[in-house]
Amino acid sequence: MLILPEHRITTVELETGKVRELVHKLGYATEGVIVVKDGRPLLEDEQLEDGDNVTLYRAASGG
Amino acid sequence: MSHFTGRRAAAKCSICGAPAVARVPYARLTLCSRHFMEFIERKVERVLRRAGALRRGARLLAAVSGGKDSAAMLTALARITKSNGVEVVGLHLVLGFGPYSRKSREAAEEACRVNNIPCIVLDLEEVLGAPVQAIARRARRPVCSVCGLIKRYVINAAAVELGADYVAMGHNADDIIAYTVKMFLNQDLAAIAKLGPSTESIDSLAVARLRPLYEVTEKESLLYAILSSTPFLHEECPFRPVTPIEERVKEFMNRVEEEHPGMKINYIRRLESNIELYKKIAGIEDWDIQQCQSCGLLSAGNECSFCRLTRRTLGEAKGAYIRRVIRELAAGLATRNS
Ligand SMILES: [Zn+2]
Ligand SMILES: [Zn+2]
Repeated sequence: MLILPEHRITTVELETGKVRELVHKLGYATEGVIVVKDGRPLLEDEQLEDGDNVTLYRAASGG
Repeated sequence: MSHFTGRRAAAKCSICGAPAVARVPYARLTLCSRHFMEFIERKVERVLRRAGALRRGARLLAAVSGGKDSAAMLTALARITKSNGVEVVGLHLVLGFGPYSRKSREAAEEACRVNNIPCIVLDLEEVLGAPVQAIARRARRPVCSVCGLIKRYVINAAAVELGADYVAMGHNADDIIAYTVKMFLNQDLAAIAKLGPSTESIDSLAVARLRPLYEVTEKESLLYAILSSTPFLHEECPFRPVTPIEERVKEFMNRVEEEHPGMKINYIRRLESNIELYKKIAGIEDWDIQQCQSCGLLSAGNECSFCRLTRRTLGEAKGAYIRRVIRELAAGLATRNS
């Protein structure tokens, strides 16, 4: 996955596979980020699948 | 990720049943792209209407940095004002911070172009004769504070010269919360008085400010910019301090918000209704409004802070010159339109 705006690329192992879990594992609050997959913003309770490549936008930057 | 658990049916929009792209927990809504955008535009429209800005012939100068907030603000303004006969003009200030500024300028011009909004571009290094960071160095002040002072001055000067009725700034709800919490932590309660959704004009000295994204959170602003396909630059300014207090406040508020949805929007709405109270604390009626003797714009003393800064660091007060440059740019814009 890719984290913007710092362009950090990383891989995260998840248990439930929910978007919320991904966001929390990276140390963010769901209220502060948007996770996009194939150009579509995901909801916090959406299920990710093995090998999914997503982009996480930190909202609190680049105003 | 352990194992594939099977895909649940995708969430649906609470209004139309189309696939959802956003949850708005504090409003108990799940929205599709179209209804999310309408939800945001209603918030923006409310700010404009309350400030009396939605009248035919009103001219709005939008400060466009090229970031997500100005992108979201521009598109929302363009959509809302279309049917109201309100004119929107964009203003982008080139800060001269290397590739960051070049990309910001491209994004700002693109965001204006896709919205059919004319864009005035002003290169600060060119008009000031020195880069912003050099002025900051000479003033022995942080780049951010000098940059902020210069931007505030130039934006107001541009609004006066362009005959704008309002300046629209892209501060979102999280920004406003972070600024005011910081002011509270410093017990600078008087400063909070200036952070309502709009301020009043002072004849020929200062143009009223509007904050169209006042009730739009940072996440909503970013999502709106993405969903509306408005071009924006998602990058950090190279001169931003490592961890500004504002960012800590935002992180804290976002954690609280996730556990207690509605905290941020309630804060913003109460702040809005308490602004009159803060004005009383600030004794705003007793502020003596003066005119800068160098440039003729609003000042707290004989000379405004911008003219004092440029006199001290560049050898001469630049206010009057900046006003002339903008007047010429404005004349060029008027002939192009006719
Ligand atoms: Zn819908
Ligand atoms: Zn002045």
